[in-house]
Amino acid sequence: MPIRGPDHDLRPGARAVATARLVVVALICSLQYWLLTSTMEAFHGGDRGLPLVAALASAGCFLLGLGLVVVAERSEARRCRSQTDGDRS
Amino acid sequence: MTRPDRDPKWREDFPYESDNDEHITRRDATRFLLLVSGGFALGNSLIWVRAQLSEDDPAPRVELGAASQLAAGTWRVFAYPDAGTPAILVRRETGELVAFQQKCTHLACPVAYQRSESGEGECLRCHCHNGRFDVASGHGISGPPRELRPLRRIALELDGDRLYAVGLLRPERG
Repeated sequence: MPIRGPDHDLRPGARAVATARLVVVALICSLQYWLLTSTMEAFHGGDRGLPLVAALASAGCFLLGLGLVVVAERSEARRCRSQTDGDRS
Repeated sequence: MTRPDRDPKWREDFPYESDNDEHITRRDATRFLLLVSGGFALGNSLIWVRAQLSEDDPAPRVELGAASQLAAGTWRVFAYPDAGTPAILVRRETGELVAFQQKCTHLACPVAYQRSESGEGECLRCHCHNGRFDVASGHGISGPPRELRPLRRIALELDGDRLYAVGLLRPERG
């Protein structure tokens, strides 16, 4: 039975990429927080046109973050598969 | 120390323990932030839905009593557009009648009318943080409200001597 290695990615630069991804998603969250409070302010001020644009922008931000995470998860899955194949051979 | 029921073989060979062994990884933190991001997007969508629904609400027509009962330079409070939303009706020193929603746009304290005195013009004043609003337009003129949206103005209609609140006016741009 092959010995299972540690769970985290040991490829060169993997840590930097993970940190960068975390920072980008955190920045997206900050932007969305500002967007939410500004939209609420505008809505309470009687602006009925802004919420649609803001909702689309916020959804776009979420999809951007989701894309980053999905790409990371797929890359991780590929790494695990190739590692398992390497262990077998 | 090993945990034979869960641990893989490599931990038996390298049986070190670390306090950070169970720390939250960057990947977990990113996933959590993504969840927060989804929450924000949902919040923005809910505001849009609320905006769509409130557009369909017809503005109620609420009787405010006899206009002649309010002397120049005085004010009173009423509720508009529903019983839970306070509003302020002012007869300015010029005799003009104006009405605004009463919640300060800073932190929702009630605003009150202040007559002109010792060189200061008449205004709507929020005593919580010393904010002042222009009594003609509802725009903030000093204190925290200066940077925020104006007070929502309420449209008034005079039918003989009877005064009615008939709707919320859209804020002026600029």
